[in-house]
Amino acid sequence: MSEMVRRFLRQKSGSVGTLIALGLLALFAALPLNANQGFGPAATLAVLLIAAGSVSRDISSGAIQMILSRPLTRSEYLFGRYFGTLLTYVGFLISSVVIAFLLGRLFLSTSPLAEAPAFSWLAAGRGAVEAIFAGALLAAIVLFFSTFLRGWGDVLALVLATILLGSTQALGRQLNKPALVQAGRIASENLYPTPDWSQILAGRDILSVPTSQYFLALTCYLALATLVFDRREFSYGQD
Amino acid sequence: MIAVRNVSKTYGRLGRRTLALDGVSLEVQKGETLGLIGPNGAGKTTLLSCLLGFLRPDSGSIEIDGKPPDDLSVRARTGYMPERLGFDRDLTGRAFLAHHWRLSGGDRRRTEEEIRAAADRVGLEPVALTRRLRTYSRGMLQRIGVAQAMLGDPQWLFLDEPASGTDPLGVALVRERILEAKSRGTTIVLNSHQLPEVERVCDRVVFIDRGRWIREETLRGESATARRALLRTDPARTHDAAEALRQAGLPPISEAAGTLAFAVSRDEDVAKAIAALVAAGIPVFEARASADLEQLFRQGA
Repeated sequence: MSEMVRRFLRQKSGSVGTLIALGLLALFAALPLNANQGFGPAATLAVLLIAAGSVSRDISSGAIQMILSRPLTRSEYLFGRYFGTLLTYVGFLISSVVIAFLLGRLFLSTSPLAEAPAFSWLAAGRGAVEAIFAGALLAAIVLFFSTFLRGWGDVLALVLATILLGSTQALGRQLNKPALVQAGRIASENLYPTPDWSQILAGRDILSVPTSQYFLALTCYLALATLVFDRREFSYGQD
Repeated sequence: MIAVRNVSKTYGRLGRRTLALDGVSLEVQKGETLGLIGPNGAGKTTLLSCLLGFLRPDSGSIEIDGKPPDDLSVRARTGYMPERLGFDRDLTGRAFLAHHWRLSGGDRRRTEEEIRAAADRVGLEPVALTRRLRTYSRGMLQRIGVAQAMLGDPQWLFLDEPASGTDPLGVALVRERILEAKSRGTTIVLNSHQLPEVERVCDRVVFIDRGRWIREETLRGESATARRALLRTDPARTHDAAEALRQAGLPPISEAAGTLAFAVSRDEDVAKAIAALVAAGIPVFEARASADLEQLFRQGA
């Protein structure tokens, strides 16, 4: 599996386009981080950028056949991609924190906005851990979709699913249908749980329902991805 | 031994299903080189995909050394080269080979040594290994594909059009590598449209068409069948040579400008024909026996 993680990291670091995009996102993430406001939506975009097509691209290029002809289980391949995504994401978060620190030292301390709260390593560290938890679930969902959808279909499916979950509750409220609102809420809580990580990291609500929903969802997405990928067949070329 | 028993495979959804393999059975003995031959869409690649565990047969079974093809102990001793090398094009040749060496479970301390040896075997210069795969020509990609398939001297080798797109030198090089693997006792399954190359390296060929096993021909040894010999003599003596062959019981299939073709069932028939011509005082410039796969291909198709 370590070889698969290495390959993932090499693929990402070898793509100039991905590196530039991640660099820009790190800059955008650094701005709210500098004011101790977490990573913001840039971190979510970074996970999507890193995880997009992680399996489907290997399938469409035909690389998967060469890999699977080697003594490597399909689960090892899949988890190699997953941990590769997480490691790249951790690298992104570290870069964002460093950029935020440097921004604080170089510009903001000398600007008229100097009354803004000073950069805190502790707050940035907590923000990074929260972002890792959130990113781990997002990456698992994208990985699951990537095992059976082509190209960017995985990210597209995630976006559509998010819209669908959000709109179900909105539609229920609009139509004054409490059952629909309830169904939307339950679906959201179970399919894409978002525990309050700041509370959990502060030592509160560790064994709460949202926490268990999060870990259950994470396990389910990874198990489903393994199940789907294990049953997949890979044909190639012309007879 | 590779044993394929009554394997069927269909593609597509209900109502639009295509039968890619229809009850194919065959065996490949240890150390044997088997060629898969058939027209486009015959099912050869599907069969190769089943042999490698990428596709699962709908019915029937495939065993390699008594184990399923996706068994890790089988894969650890398997080399595979796809027709198109669809791998990370941003990798350098060296990184590509190193990656596959490590994936195959090779000793990491021997990585450099193995890469050098593998590149040497397919005639890739050290400087080529520092270049990214995306800068490689089709021929170079085929060469490095062959090199990765043969990393660690696998026991089973599955090659899909290994010399496709290579120049004549590359074709010869691929042939030499296959023969070298064969001499080490590697069991090889070769899918190729290059019939002369198949004839040169394979012990046996299986004809597949519309997903069915049509026939098989042995190309080497005593049981070799359906071969043809070509004799080249003085063009002015073509008619005399034909007559001498007829008298020897080997009537020519064709005769033109000093070249005569006749069917042979044993290697001795070629010697007999040469002896007959020499006895009649007709010079023999060249004698060559071949399986005439093209003819067999036409019959098979």
